[in-house]
Amino acid sequence: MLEYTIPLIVRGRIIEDNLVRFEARRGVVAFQTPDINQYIDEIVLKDPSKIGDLYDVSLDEIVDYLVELGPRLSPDTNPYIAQSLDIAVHTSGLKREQLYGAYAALSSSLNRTFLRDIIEQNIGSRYLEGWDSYTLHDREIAVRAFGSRIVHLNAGNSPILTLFAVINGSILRCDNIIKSPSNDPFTMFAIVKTMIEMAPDHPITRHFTVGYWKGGDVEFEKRLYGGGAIDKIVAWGGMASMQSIRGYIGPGLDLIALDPKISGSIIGAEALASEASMDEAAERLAMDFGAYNQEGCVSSRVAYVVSGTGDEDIDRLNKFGKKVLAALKALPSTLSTPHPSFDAHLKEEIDGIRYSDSYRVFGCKENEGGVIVSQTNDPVDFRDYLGGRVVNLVPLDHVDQALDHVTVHTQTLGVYPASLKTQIRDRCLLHGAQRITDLGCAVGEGMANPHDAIELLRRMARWGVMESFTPEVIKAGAGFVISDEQRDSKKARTESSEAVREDAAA
Amino acid sequence: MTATLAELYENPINFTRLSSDELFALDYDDVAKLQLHHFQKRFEKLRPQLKALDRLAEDVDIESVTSFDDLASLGFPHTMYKSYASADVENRRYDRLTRWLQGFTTHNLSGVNLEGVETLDDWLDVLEASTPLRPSASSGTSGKISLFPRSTVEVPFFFEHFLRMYGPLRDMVASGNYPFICAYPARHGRHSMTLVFDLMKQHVYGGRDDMIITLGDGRTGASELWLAGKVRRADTLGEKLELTPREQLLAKRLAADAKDSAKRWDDFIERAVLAQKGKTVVYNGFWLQLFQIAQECASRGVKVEWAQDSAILAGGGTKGYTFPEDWMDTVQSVFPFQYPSQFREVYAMTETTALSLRCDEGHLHPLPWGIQHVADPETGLALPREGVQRGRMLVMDLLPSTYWSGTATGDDVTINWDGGCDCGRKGPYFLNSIKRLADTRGGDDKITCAKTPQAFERLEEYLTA
Repeated sequence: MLEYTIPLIVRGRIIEDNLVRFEARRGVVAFQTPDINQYIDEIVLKDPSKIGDLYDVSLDEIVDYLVELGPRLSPDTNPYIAQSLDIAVHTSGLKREQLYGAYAALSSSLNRTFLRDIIEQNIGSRYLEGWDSYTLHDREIAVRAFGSRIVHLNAGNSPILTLFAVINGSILRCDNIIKSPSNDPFTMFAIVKTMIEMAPDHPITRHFTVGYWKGGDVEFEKRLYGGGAIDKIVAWGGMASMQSIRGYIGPGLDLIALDPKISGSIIGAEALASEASMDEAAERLAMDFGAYNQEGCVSSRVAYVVSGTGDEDIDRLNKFGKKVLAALKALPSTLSTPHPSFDAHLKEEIDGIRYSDSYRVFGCKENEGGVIVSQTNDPVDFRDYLGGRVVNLVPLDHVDQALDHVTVHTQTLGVYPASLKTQIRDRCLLHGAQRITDLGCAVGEGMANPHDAIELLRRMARWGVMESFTPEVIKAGAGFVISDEQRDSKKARTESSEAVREDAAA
Repeated sequence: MTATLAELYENPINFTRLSSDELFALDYDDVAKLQLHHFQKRFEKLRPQLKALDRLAEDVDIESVTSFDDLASLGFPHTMYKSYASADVENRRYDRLTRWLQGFTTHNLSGVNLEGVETLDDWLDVLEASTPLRPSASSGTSGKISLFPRSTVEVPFFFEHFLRMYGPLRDMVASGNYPFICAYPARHGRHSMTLVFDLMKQHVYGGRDDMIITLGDGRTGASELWLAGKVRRADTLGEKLELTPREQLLAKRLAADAKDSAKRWDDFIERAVLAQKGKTVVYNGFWLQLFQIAQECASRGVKVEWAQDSAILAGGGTKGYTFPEDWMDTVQSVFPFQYPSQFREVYAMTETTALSLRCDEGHLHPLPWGIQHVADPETGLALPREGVQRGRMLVMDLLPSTYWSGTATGDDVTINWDGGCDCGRKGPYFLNSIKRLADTRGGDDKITCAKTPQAFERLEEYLTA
């Protein structure tokens, strides 16, 4: 067992006392970290106006801060990030080669263009930098997005997910409390520690708290969420944690739920039309389920292929399946490798169907991943478990049959050929899907767009409104300004109903 | 009622002529030799007859069995019994399902007339009417049902294994003098439990129905299990649920039954608890059912006052259900029987009749008419048959001759190969700490944005809820 100590950081203060021990995933890594219960009073920000210091910092300065932080997060030069990588090798589903790329991306993502795109596309600087004014029918309106006291329950399947808290929490001017996940217990600490070394007294640094507690620690979570000192929770994934969180939600506490998701592929008949198109589609599908070892919610798990379901059609699909396996094996190790901890339960399920006439299994002998080709129009019953670079190809006679499997749990659909996207996008979205992209690009989701069918930054903000009325409107009654005509017709209605009453009395 | 080593060598069925005490007194070196011999013979005989076994053996490149370690390669994954395509059930392709099932049994299914077969139960009825096959059905977490290819050849062994669960009380249970109580929600059907009810009625109670007291008196056939799985799957995956007209009728009936839950418990407590006050009974059920009975009784202010010489069997682990911390206190407050001395406990599974019995030392002793082995859950390779080993449980039942009983189970077990339990039973034993590999290897508190099978865990068993 590898043992680490991970300090608690409370608004710029590094705490290493009152240690308690936890085990990270897979029984290889254990870490000690301060008992969070001892620090609850410091962790929560009881007075919401204390976010005010962040308003002395301009949006440009916030961007400058993040841009300056970027290069400092390089795994080559930052010992904390290097240590995060070392730990993640033992806790994540990725190997060092892929993790290195993901950590390097922390640095490169924090550039000015990327940050500006996020700000303008996801919320608009005009709401962040001041009050944005416009005129409505009877008033002047000014709107501003304010930061909130927010708890981030981070996901740990890729270190890059820490950026959601770093970027969104900074540009919105939030007071951020971040819970590290057990499958990546160190990265967020490494980033905030780097912030402290870079700018110890900067208000942004002073509004980041990062620690670990076991998800579902009822005693602590009741105190954290129940004291009226948290405005919002951004919760990523994990069915069990999602359910435990819902128990704390009441008036005044907003849950932003990024529910656990699965993704898939829809492949048109064109893919099987020629040897060349088969090769191309196979390579692109391999990217979508192979890259980053199928760890993300964007990773494809089931590919619906409009192959036809006759015997010859299925033979052709099996051939395509073999090509997909070859393409998986050809992926560079910086993107994809055999899974370091292949799910034993999934292996049992695959072994169960290996000799069935209803499926063909290519690969999946050990932990190398592979392709399951359904021989009938029927995805495997364990499709929710698919992982470790295993995809299920399902033959269809018509693309509409794929829509039966698209649900609110479907995040990304990688589609081939490109022209099919526009043809099916509305129906896919109506069935619940959230993102339609080109086959081969599923794992390349950007941050400057809606995610999981919501606009995350807008949901994280507390929206303020200021209104101004002219004396005439105030006199007439705000919100009751109606035309003369409407006034007359109201008078007419009153007169006619009085006439009716008189008639009735007569 | 005994058998010589030569007779045991000749035919493993002769093991059943020995009492459990006699079985546990056998020298374990002799037992190991007998087991390996029958493992080898069974493989030689069944491989040419079973397509599924032949394909597996070819794939792992095993021509003949040379050691127990071959079981690590030749164990069918327990998931194999649901490896048909769901679409074949939905599209009523019972011809394809029959072909699939033929891969697992030596009985010839080619003459089965599938005309007019609409539902899973129709299909199984036709199979049973025209062949010796007697498949049992069980539901899994994924929503598909498993079909186990037992036949009339093995049904007597299955029943004997059931009676042996009661250890020294086997003959008392088999006497037919005491009523049989089980809080199972159905009385008829294709689940192994309902099969036990039928066998008890026929062979123990001389056809008397009133001696068997169950929570529900309805039927849980394959169609009911299929429907439950289908509803659960649609619920968790968020996919569209399409029911046939017959399934809609079935769903209405199941929903109506579920509504009568309180009345069913009133009735059960009246028949199984109040009417049996002071009487000797035979009780059978999982810990979960015992806990349910305790809760229902506690809420009515009733105690279970069966005679102290009653035979009480519990087991089955926790079946994915989270018990409250004080559950045993609840059980003990209602059942005035001492744990562990007055509760029989076993470790049993569909795949083998060689169940394990808990002794007073708290260890689980497997009957020697089946092979036990343990494999590394990571590599799948057999672990040494010495000292204390923990891993995936492998089993091979020596009694069945019409299907391949070598199985790689999903259980995480710890076995002491050196034996020497203070209870005096010979041979290796398991520690009473059996878990499911899926539960112990998932890790906890992992958060990812990808949807995981945790989704399944929030749903309780549809039928028993």
